[in-house]
Amino acid sequence: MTDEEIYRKYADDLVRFATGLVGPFDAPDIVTDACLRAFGAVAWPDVANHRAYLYRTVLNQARSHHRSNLRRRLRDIRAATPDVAFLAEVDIDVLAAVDKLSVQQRASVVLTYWEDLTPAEVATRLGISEGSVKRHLARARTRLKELLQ
Amino acid sequence: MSETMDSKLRELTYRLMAMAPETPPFPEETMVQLKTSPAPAPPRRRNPLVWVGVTAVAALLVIGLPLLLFNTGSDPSPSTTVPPATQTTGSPSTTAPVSTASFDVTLYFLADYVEDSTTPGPHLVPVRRQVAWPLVAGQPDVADSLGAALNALLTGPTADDGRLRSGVSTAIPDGTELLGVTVDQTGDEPRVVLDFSSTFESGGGTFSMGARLAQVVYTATQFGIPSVEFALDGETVAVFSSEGLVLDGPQTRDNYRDLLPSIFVEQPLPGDTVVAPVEIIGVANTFEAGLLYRIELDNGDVLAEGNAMASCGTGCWGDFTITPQYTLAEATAGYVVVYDASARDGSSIDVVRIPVSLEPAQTTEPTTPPGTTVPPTLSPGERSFDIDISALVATPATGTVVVDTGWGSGDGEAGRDPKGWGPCCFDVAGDGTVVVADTYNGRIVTYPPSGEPRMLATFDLSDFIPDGIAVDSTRVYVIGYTNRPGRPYDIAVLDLETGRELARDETPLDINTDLRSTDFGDVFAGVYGQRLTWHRLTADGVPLGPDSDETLGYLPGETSISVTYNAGAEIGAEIIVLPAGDSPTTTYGVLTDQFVFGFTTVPGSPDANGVVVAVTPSIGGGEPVTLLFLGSDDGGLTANALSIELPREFELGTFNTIRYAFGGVYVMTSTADGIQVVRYELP
Repeated sequence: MTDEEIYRKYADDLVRFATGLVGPFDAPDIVTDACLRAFGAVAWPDVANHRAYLYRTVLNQARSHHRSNLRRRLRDIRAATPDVAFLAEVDIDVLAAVDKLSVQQRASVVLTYWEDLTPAEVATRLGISEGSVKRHLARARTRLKELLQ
Repeated sequence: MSETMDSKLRELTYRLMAMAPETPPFPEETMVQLKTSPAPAPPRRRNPLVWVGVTAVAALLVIGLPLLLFNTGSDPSPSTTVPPATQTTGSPSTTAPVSTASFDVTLYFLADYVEDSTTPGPHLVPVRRQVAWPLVAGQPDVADSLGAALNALLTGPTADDGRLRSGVSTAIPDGTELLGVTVDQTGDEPRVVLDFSSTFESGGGTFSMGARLAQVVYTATQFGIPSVEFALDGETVAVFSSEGLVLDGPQTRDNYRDLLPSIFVEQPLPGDTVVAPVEIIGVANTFEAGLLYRIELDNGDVLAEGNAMASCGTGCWGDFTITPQYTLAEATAGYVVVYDASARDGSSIDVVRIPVSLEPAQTTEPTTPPGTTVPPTLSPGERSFDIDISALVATPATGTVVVDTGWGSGDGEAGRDPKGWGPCCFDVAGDGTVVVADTYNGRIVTYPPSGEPRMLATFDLSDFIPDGIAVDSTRVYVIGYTNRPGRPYDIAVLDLETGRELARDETPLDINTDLRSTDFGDVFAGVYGQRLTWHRLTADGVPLGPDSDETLGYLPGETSISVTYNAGAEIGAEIIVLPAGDSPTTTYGVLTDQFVFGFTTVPGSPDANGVVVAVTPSIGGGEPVTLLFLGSDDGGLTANALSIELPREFELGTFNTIRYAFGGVYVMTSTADGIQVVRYELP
């Protein structure tokens, strides 16, 4: 498979995953940067599980993503994409809730509740232990308890 | 864990996924858009086998070129004399230059100089060159500077360049002439138009065509204007050369990043004499932004080594500044080495070795007693005129607290969002009243010098999030962020006395900076694009036409200096001097390794204005905050520093803001307990 074919196969899922990690504004950039990085990596030709590798690269990219305030984030977005029609669909409450979670916790939540993966499968996808996944999920529930109940 | 909690988390996740944007197209980065595609673009993949192929193609291109297209550094150049710069400008000044001065400029040639490079070369290589150009009224003119630097570039590498960087070459055909340099700063996007003789597009393949454009763009953009437009024999170029490179609008450095090695060091340059401690500056695109460095003596001894981070990595380009600490007894030859370690086997990759002369630190005793402010004068010129904050002796200052609130939504409290962001901003009215836009409570609150705070107005946060404020003698102008697509901002105008809403309308302006009022009662909205421009508003908050002369790069009568943040990393700032009239913009310096969390302008006489920039070396808290007073007059840029102790909580990167009013600087910070606005007197 060429890089482009691999990209076509996984990009939609990666964008949703990135949306879970950094929100809808920065998700396309995160995915683009992560894929460029992955395709250019020395190890890429030897990678067996492309999907897991790309998910991890997106996660790493999201973790190094700088927090920024609303205005600066919007400024950057508008500089990059003049058409911001999708902003109409922004669900501020959800973003505020997700903001309480760490990036690792978000990754575990998205894979568990959106992709319906078991903790063991999430662990494989993210390259972390099953125990870590369970811990991330438990902490996510605790952090959101007050907000959701 | 309860099922309810699970189902709520699932619902939350689904709502989040519903916001997912469209998938971006396959990220195939190409150096330039190709109308026709005679040669495959270099693949991004760093598979060694593929590389051999690319290198072979590149080698074929090089070998296949007529020799005249590649003046190699080992061949003595026919002439290293730079033609008089005035011949190169499109409209030579009729004023006789007062004097001529020599300046160091950076020229960009090509060489395979990176050991174990992960990207195929040849890459752009910066070399130092001293060129002369005239001073007009004691100041260098941008067009003259550009002309002199580009003529040196057209002349090609010298034997000296070849000694420092073996195999250095140029892709610019011999005989190319620079016919004109036009500096256009009238629009929103300042640019230079460079007119070359048609020889510029002769000979060579795709690589050579892209490379020669890159050489010119990198050389031309070192004087503070980031965009370049090309013309050949007076005709603007849209499609360059028989290779059909489509130049889609003004070209910037970003268009040619494929020609950079993964680590691109712009300071020091080969042959530089560096005084300890050396400052290494460049850009890099390495795995997780990691970098390694080494200061090596000629005999192989390692003087210092360590690791550093660029501001971005793993697929994106980030800046880096490294200041290795070492002591040196005597001057010696050596190398500054910057490299990366392979993620696979730890071996050194992308190794950039820069031969330099190392000199010990100068041991000058501080002549100024502590507590005294030293106002150094900085000259205009290249990036090395960085403002060295550590060299400034800051005067400790104690401010007066003028606003002190708790967090919350009650009277006298300020709101914060779940991330910890507090009020966006404030302004100071004529009687000293501080007017705060309490963003997350959706209200405007006034804090008079004496007396109780008063709620002036409230907004419904679902369609108006206060995100910018300016106050003049009678009115309050508030920017509101709406969720509306396309034009997301409203401007509301309130009566300062009663809070009554006088006007509210959506604005076509993308007011991503703030509002500012001037001493003349005008209100301007700041739009941050290629540079900061200010648009004058009517009393009802309606912007005057974007093409009118009310759209300015500076605020009239208030300042001639603008500060731009280094976007993304939020570390550092450029100080850009924007004089009135047609004079060129000068970029004075880059504050590196400093977190800039606010700036304000200080009105002065027409030829001496200033800004105050609040900086701190770390957002982690505990670090001192410095208010940096930067003034501009005919003698250049002056800097004074005031060290202040701010109560602050930076845990989540709280936004802060500063304003100048009545001879003092007001600084708003967020603390664990609420917000404070503190006034500091100017020194």
